[in-house]
Amino acid sequence: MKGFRLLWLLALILTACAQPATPAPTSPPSPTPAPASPTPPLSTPTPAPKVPGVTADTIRLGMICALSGPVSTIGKPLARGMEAYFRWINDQGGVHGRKIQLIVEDDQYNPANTVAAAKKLVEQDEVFAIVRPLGTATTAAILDYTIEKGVPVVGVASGSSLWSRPFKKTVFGIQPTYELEGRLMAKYAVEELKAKRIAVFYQNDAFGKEGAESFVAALKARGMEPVAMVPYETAERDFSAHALKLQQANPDLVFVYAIQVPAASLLKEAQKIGFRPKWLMTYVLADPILLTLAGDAAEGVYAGAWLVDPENAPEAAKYREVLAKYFPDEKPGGYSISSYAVAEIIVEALKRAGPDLTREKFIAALESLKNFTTGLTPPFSYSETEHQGIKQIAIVQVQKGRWVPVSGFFGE
Amino acid sequence: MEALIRYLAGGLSAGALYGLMALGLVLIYRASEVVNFGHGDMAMISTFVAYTLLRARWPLPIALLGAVLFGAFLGALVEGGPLRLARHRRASPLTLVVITLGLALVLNGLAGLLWGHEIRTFPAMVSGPPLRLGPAVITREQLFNLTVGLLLALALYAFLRLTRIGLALRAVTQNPEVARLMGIPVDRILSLAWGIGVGLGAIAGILAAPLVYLEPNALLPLLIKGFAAAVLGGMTSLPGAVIGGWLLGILENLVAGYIATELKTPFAFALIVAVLVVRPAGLLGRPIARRV
Repeated sequence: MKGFRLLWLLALILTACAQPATPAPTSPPSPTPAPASPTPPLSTPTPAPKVPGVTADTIRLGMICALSGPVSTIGKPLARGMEAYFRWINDQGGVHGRKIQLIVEDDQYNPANTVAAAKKLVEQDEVFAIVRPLGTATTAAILDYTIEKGVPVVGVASGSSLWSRPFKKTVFGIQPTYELEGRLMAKYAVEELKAKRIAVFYQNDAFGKEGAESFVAALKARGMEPVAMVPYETAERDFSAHALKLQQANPDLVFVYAIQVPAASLLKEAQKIGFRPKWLMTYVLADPILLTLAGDAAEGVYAGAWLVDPENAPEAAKYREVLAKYFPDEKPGGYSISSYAVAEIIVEALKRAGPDLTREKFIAALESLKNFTTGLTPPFSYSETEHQGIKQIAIVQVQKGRWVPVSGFFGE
Repeated sequence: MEALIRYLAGGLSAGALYGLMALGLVLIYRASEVVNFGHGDMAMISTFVAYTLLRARWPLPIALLGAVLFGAFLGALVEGGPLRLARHRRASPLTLVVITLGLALVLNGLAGLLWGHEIRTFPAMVSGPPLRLGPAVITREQLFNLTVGLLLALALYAFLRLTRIGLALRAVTQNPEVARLMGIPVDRILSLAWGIGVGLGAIAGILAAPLVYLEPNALLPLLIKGFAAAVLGGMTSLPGAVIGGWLLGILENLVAGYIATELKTPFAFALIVAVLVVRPAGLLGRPIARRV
């Protein structure tokens, strides 16, 4: 089953790579003829072309993430962070007089469901754009479809390089790519944490390999070789052998490119056998969930972060206030603040696109963001040829059971 | 050498849990000729019951006992309810297997509704620094799981060999028709086998949950490996199930330690395939003669 999934993912990646490098529909989507349109355009003499999802008083956006199933621990806060900011904007009067309506579809982190959800959003709900879809394989599955339909996809919740390379006119990444993070982490491990013997624990799939391979390449560029490479399969649940194997290599630092449960299990197994290296982990793990799962075994762990501290940073005060207002039972955390930040960026672009909103103007407005930040992220830029997003990370550390920033944002 | 002993200890400990799953599966299979695909989800539900009782501040031993009894009751209920109704309507064993598969999906969905899909932590039974016995280093959890697995297997063996009910159960597994003619209440005995089997699964789930966390799909790998251990051991042999579990656990850890961690599961299963090609009845199994 697992092999099957891998093959399938490979096929996806291949098809994604195989498509022309510049799909750029410069004169994009002939607005899909909408039979159910409430305003029959025939009567008016020169009708303005209808923009999907945009009416005089609303902008309809679609979001796809896992609201049920194992990944819902990420999907739910992700959806709520975005919903909270849009509701707040709507309560302030919206953007150019239009309220933002967010339709969230649950795909259970299953690419087949993602495709169905995207079709529903595009063809039935006629959304203006798809925002912050969650996951690599899931979003990869709808990429060609959204490009073909000319639907902008903004702020993918995955650091895969698929979104930015090759360049796609309608697709915008936001978080640092795993490849970039691997390089920045190698720099931090060697220069700041003074690591001499480094081991790597990573998920044996496209996500884990992208981060781990670029980390190792950056080590090699500094004349270092990892003392152990310990991959794990996504279905693995028992990490005692992995912890032991890492311990046998006697590293002073272990770089971890994994998701929550394997990372937390590894920390607990290491604690049981008295293995105490420095741990440096991907930003994917910098969330209170890791602390819940690993308990005191997570003490001292370093991780990346591409947003300010959701719980304590003064820049995030408004985020905490807005989240508490609309979702009182949702505690501030890495996932909801990430979506909240993307929602802020989307609203900024909608404002810049002006009252006569079209998809082309929206894309141009996003591309006009230069050294832009709302305070929650480091400054970043998009351009007409580059949609990668944020290129800096900070380092946070678990101290007394909380994530605490230990460095400012830095880049290459 | 030290590393080898530690890989073996880890493998034996994981294998003890596979063995517990396998024991339940084999007991149920021998009694009723049904491969219980619902085993993992019944164990998962029982573990959630333990979780809920612990959250309600029940003392640990009572909460765990309650959950295991719940598992046993659930097993007896499944046998006494849908399976018995179908069997009395002359359903084939394959139909019964499909019923268990359906129940697995129902229970999985139900757990998602009742407890949600958040990943939850489950308290470990034992904790503390690892124990050193000469060159060997073993964690307390590993020692505990190994001991519990072994004691339960011995207890089950003694129960089947030394008690009248155990004798009746063995009679039913050998020939239900004759057993019925001899005055053995076959239906009650089948319920008992299912109760014990699922109860053992519940214990395996409770021991595994601190390691793998708890959510509706958390025990799926354990079920698959329990099946593998049962088949490796022969599917009809109780000692075979325990030994199959240990072998699988050790194999996995040796592959992870000395070949490649990502091959841990695939390699172990490749070896099982190889064993079954050479010995189709498994290591300790005897082929079941067709009952006419």
